Amino acid sequence: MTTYLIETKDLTKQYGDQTSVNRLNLHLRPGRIYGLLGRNGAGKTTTMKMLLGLTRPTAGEVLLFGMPLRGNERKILPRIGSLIESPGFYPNLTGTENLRIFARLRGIPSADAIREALALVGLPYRDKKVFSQYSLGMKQRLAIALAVMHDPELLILDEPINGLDPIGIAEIRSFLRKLCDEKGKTILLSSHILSEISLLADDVGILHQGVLLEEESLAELEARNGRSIHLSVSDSAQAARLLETELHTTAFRVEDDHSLRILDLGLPIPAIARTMLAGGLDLQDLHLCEDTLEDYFKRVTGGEGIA
Amino acid sequence: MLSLIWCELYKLKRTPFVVLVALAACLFPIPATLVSMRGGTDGSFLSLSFLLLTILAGPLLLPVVGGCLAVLLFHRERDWETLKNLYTVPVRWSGLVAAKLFVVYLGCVLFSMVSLLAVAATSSLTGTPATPFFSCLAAAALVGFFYASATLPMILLVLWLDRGTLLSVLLCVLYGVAQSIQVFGGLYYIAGTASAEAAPLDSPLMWSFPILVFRWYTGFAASGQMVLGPDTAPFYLDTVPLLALSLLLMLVCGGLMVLLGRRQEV
Ligand SMILES: Nc1ncnc2c1ncn2[C@@H]1O[C@H](COP(=O)(O)OP(=O)(O)OP(=O)(O)O)[C@@H](O)[C@H]1O
Ligand SMILES: [Mg+2]
Repeated sequence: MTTYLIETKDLTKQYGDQTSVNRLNLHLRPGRIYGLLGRNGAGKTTTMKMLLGLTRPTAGEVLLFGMPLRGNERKILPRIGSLIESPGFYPNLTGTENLRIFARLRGIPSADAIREALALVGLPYRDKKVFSQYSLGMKQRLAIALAVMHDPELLILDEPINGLDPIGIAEIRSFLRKLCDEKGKTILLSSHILSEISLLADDVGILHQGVLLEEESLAELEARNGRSIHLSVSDSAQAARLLETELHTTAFRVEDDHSLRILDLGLPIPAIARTMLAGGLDLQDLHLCEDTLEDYFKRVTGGEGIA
Repeated sequence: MLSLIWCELYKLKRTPFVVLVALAACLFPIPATLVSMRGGTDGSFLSLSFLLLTILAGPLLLPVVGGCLAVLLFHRERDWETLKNLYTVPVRWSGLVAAKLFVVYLGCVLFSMVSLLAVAATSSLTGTPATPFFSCLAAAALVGFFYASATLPMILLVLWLDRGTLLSVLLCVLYGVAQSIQVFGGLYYIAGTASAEAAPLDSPLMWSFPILVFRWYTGFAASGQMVLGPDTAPFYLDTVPLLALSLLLMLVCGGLMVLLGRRQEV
């Protein structure tokens, strides 16, 4: 049996008569990045709050590092770095001073940890600017610095790239990847940005209206995604005839007057091209296309894409 | 616990309110001296400090200082969503409450001691010897302690209501005014009798908190004795019952604050 770093058993949270998280069974393997994907209000933040003991589950259990969270908070929480929703810091203190408060509470003696954490997220050490004057992205960076300052084994990050610029996003992405690959850290992150998850995560959980619809490794999901060959020609009816007579396949769909989609992936693409040209058709485009995570997401949530 | 207190003090950095309070503490001797010069007291340092601590600064300002300090410390955590970062350290709510209340007490004690030092300075400058200095200073510290305790029910109310900062501060000011009214009511009542010591103690006014402090102050400040001789009773109070009352308030209100926070979620 694998030991999971995070495991939840029928975790449920109800606010009044609304069920925000419904019988959730999460499994996080050590040394992996797990992306929790869900639309606004899917219950991502609520789940993470329960994982950290910030709100009490209505039912179910959280196991962290193989121990139940309830009753072991003092042992478990220092091993976790977290960022939940918006960054929360003292407005009248600078970034360094804010971190100094938490370093003191966590019992980190050296100032180096603070300097390194700030350097990692690209914030100046001992700047004069106080937190209330920070830009959104700077606040987010400070929150990430706080999460990694004490070198935790497990990171729980709720929408970590929220408010970051493209360069910042790429930096954080490679930074998280490095933490996972080189230092063997485990990371749980949530996002409603699909491309982020597909670029970063090893495992993906899809949360929809409080229910975990899928939990799979990214590779597995991609393998399962629908693939097809897209064909653009001068006359699609003629092309369809050629496919049936010359290539002996009926696994295709005519999409309009000029395009077709071949679902039979066994056909070699050069052979298709030759057949079309030999049949006197103009071939404008021929390529293999894959369902994106987005298409997949739409399918499993039955929704109109992500908000 | 020490780290928690250090952090609470550190969080007060760049807070204009603290400067304002420090300034108020230093400026308060001016009205006290003015009242005294107009013949309000016999002109001695003891009477001046009595006037300052039990009638002017104590009932009116200490609840405002303590209350606002608490509002500041508690609301900042709420408004800037820092609690989640504290809870995941993990820091417990009870520890946080204890550290914050410690700072409130510290603020009140320092405020009344600084006020007293300022009065000592001004009275020395005007040629009145600041004696008995040390028992008055100790009395000032105790007044700060007592009024900090008396402010706790107010802080509890503010936390329970969980409203905006403006309303909370307003409540603290009202509380200070209410304390002052009790003092002046008591003074008016005492003035109607032949002498303070002879004032009948069956009126509930004589047992309100500010009047209890009022009845305790002179006995302690003049002699520095915790327990007074039998000749001064029953008007003058010993220190021990007031201390006990303060500790009781501290335990009950502190306990309730801890319970209050347990139910809240971040
Ligand atoms: N304190 C609360 N009281 C009542 N309902 C709440 C509370 N917190 C969250 N909810 C509800 O729980 C549901 C899930 O919220 P949650 O914040 O977990 O969503 P999310 O997946 O993080 O969304 P987003 O992408 O917008 O951050 C929402 O419908 C929300 O209204
Ligand atoms: Mg959220």
